[in-house]
Amino acid sequence: MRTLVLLLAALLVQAPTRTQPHTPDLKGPAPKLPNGRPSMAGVWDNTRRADVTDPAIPGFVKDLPYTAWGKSKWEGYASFMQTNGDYVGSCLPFGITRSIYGPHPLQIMQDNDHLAMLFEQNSMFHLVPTDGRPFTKDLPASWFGESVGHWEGDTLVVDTVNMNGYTRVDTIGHPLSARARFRQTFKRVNFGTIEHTITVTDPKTYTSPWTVKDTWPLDPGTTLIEYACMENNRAFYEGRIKPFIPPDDVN
Amino acid sequence: MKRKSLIVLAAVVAVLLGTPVIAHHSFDAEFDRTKPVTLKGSVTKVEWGNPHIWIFIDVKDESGTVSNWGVEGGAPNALFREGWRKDSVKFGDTVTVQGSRAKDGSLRANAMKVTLPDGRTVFAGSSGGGR
Repeated sequence: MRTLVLLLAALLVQAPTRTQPHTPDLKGPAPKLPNGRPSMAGVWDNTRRADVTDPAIPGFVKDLPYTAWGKSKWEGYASFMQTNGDYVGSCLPFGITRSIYGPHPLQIMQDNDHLAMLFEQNSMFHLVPTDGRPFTKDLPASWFGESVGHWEGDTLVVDTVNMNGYTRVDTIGHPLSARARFRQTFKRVNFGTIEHTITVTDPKTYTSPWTVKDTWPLDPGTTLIEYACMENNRAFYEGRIKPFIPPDDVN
Repeated sequence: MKRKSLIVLAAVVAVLLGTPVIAHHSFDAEFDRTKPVTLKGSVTKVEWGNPHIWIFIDVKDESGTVSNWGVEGGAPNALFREGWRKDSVKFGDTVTVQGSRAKDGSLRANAMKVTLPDGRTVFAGSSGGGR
């Protein structure tokens, strides 16, 4: 009995009264996955880009090389929203680019075989298998599309296809079609930094691919908060934002 | 050092007041940035919910007529991170809102700044300025 009391006393002395917050060395090396690859895990202060051509934000794309169809979609966006409504205002999925370039943070969780992007915007997620599987045959198109990832050295490359073509690149409304493909690269250059690129290839909308480059700082003090988009969407409920009608010319 | 801190603080405030950080939908579809409005009145209701908070205030005009205005602010998530709390503005408080009027002429506005009962002026999360 005396031994047990001494053992418990020793444990109590050693045990911290509460978990101390871990302060990471942001300049230190990137953390590793069990398989030795760099882990992209963390809450990231992803770049806010209401307009990917805004020269005030480093990494912007200078000129978007529109096709005739793409130019008509860009110039007609305001009138399109009058007739077909606003998909974002209707709380439909933002898609990859508008989720990444929106005003709310992104958390990445990752293991050897998957990367999960958790977007605070609308509390949405997107999964990226990194286990070498191909794209799914005959999968219906969707707002975020389907992604698979592979490693090129320490850079994770994520390819996305099969998007429905209803989303826009950014808040200002640069267009996309259902033929769009994205290639994202993620390179964790140190514990506190990801260098991210996204290359948009969409031959219906743009005559050549174009790339946006970002540097995301880790935001270790931030926790994602639930975002229930329809909870107080007064502009929609009261008719000032029209329910979204999908366009029929994006394929 | 202190002066440097003040300069940095002023820069941060300037950025917060001038940058469209909390856009959810197109500002220009609903509000008119060329119609600035300042509303001072008593809070009758606060709706703390995504995608935008709404604050309703009774505003008395020059003739003494009281009208109830609805004012749209930013997303609660972003406002929380900027220091707002659910009870930062509450029923009965007297506040002053600076923002832009609705295009349709109704008694609605998009808030850029709100002056709280304690005199502090805080960014309200307007989506105006860059859509």
